Amino acid sequence: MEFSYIQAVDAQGDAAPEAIAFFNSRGESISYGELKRKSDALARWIAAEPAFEPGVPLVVYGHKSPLMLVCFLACVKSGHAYVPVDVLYPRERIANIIGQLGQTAVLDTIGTIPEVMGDLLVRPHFDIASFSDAHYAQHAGAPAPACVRPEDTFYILFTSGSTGTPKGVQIIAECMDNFSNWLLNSEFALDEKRVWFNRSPFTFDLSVTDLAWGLPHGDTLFALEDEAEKSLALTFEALSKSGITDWVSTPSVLDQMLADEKFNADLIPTLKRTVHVGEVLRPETVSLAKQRFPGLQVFNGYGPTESTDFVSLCEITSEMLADDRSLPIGYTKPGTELVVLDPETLEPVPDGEHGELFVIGNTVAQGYWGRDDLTQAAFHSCPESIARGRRSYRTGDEIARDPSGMFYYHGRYDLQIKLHGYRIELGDIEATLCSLPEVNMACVLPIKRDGLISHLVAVIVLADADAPRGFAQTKLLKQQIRPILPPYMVPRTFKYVDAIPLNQNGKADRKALAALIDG
Amino acid sequence: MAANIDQQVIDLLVDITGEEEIGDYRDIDLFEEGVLDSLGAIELLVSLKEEFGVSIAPTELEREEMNTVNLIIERVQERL
Repeated sequence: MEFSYIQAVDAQGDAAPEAIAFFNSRGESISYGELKRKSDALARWIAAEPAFEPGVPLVVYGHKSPLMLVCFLACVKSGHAYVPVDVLYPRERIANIIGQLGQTAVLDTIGTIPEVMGDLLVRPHFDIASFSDAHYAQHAGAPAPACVRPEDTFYILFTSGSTGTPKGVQIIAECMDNFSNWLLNSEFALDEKRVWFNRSPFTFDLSVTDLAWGLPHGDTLFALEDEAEKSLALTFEALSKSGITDWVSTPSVLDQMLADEKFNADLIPTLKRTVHVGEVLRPETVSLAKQRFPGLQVFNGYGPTESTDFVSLCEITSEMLADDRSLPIGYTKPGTELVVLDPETLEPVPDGEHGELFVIGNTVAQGYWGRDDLTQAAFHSCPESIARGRRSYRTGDEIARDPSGMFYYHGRYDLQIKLHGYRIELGDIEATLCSLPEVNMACVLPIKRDGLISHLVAVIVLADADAPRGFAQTKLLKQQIRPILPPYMVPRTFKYVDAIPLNQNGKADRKALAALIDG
Repeated sequence: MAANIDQQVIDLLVDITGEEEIGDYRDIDLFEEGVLDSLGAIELLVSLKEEFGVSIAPTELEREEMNTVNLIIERVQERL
C-alpha cells in the first residue's frame, strides 16, 4: 500500500508512542511519540517565526542526536527543505553552503555554530538545543501547519563539485515517498522490527537508507556519537550494547571493523544483515563478514545522491561469490529505469557491453539548488526518446547490464572518485590547492591498494622553485586547506615535482604523473 | 638487528605517509601533525603484520601508545 513518508512516520507516533525511534552511544534517545510531538511543535514555531522566509531551505547543524531528526521532520512539516550540515565540515565550506542557500537560517542542534563560524556566519541562527519543554508545550498542536506536496523539496545534500564549490542535490518529497515505498513494499521488507546501525553522517545520502527503510516501519535507529566514533575500542563497546540487527555502511567502514578479529558474532550476536552502497564491494569483504557472523545476509546496492540513496539492490549469494566477475550491484527498483548508453553517441549499448548509466524515474532529484548550468548538463542530457517526460540523471558511471537484468559497476568516466565511500571530485581539491599562494599547479591522484582506492596523493608544483619541499612545507599546505575541505578530502601524502606532464590537449597527463611519482 | 628494525619501520611509515624525512622526526605526534590519520594507522598495523608478523589489533592500544615513530618501534620490538 502506498504511503506518504511523513504521514507514515507520524502514524508510528500514534500507534506506538513509547517505541524508541532513535538512540545513540551517548545515551540520548527519542520515542516515536516524542518525535511527533516535538517536530509538530517545532514546525509551528518555525511557521510563526519571521526570520524563516516561507519555502526557503533551512540548515540543520549538528551530528548524531535525536534533535537532528526532530529538526528534519519539523522543517518538512513547516514547508522548508532541510539541509544537514555536519560538525565534521570546516567553517569555510559551511559558509559556502549557507551562501548558496540565500535567505536561509540555521537550526543549531548543539549550540556551537556562532563559535565555529565566527564572522563567517551571516544568516540568523537559533540554538534549538536550548529549547525547554515549556517552549515545545507553548507551540504544541497537531497537525503541523503546512503539509508536503510531492513536488516540494524535501532535503538538499551538498556533494563535492569539480570546481571547488559544493553542489546541492535537491530531493523532492515524491523521491522520498517512492524510495521508502519500494523498500517497505517489496521482497526487502520484513515484518520484524529491526535495529539499524545509522553509521553515516546525515550529510551523506547513505544515512537516508535507514531513515527511509526504518522510521515509517517503526524500527529503531542507533548511531555513534563523540568518543565512540574516534576509537575503535569504544566503537566496539558501543556496538556490543546496541542490539543492532541491520548494518548500513560503505564497504570501507566494514573493512575497517573486520581488520580487528574481535569484530564477530560474539561482539554483536544480534547482527543479521548488512547493506552496502557507495563504493565497490569486494568478495573478500563479504566472505570474511559471513565467516565472522554465521548466517549473515549481505546486500549490495548502487545509486548516486542524485537519485535518492540507491536505485538497485540485491542479496549477495554464494553463487555470486564463486563467480569470477565483480559483485553485481543489483536489479533495478520499480519506478526506475536504468539505461546504459554510449557516452559519445547516447545510443543504447547491447547487454553485456560497457556504457554510461542514465537513471530515469521517480526518485531522480529535481536538480542542483540554484545551479541551472549544472542541472542542465546532468539532468537534461538523456535523449527524450528514452526519457519520455520522466526525470533523468546522467551518472558518469561506467556500467554493464547482463541479459538477466543484473547490473555491474566498472568505474567512472570522469575525475569523480569514491574514497572510503565519500564522493570526491578531484578537481574540488585541486582548485583549493591552486588557490594557495605557495602553489603554482596541483594534481591529485587516487592511490589504489588491493583494487580499492586507499588514499590520495597531491602532486604539487611550488610557486617558488627553490622553496623547501619536505615535511614543513607539507604541514604548511595541509594547515591551509583544512579549514576549507572536509578531512576525507585532505590528501594524505604530498609529492613535489618541477613540472606536471601535460597531454596533447594541454591537460595534466594523470597516467604519466602516476608513473612519475611511482618511480 | 635493532637498527635494522628501526629502519624497516621507518620505511613502512614513509610508504604510508609519503613523508621522506619522517625518520628525522622520531618524537613528533604523528596524528597531531597530520602525518597519520585513523585509516593510515590501520594500514600501518596491517603492514606491520605483513612485514614483521607482529599482530596488533586496532582496538588493543590507545593512540598515545603509538603516536610517534619511536613508540611504534617500541611496540614492534615488544612483540618480536
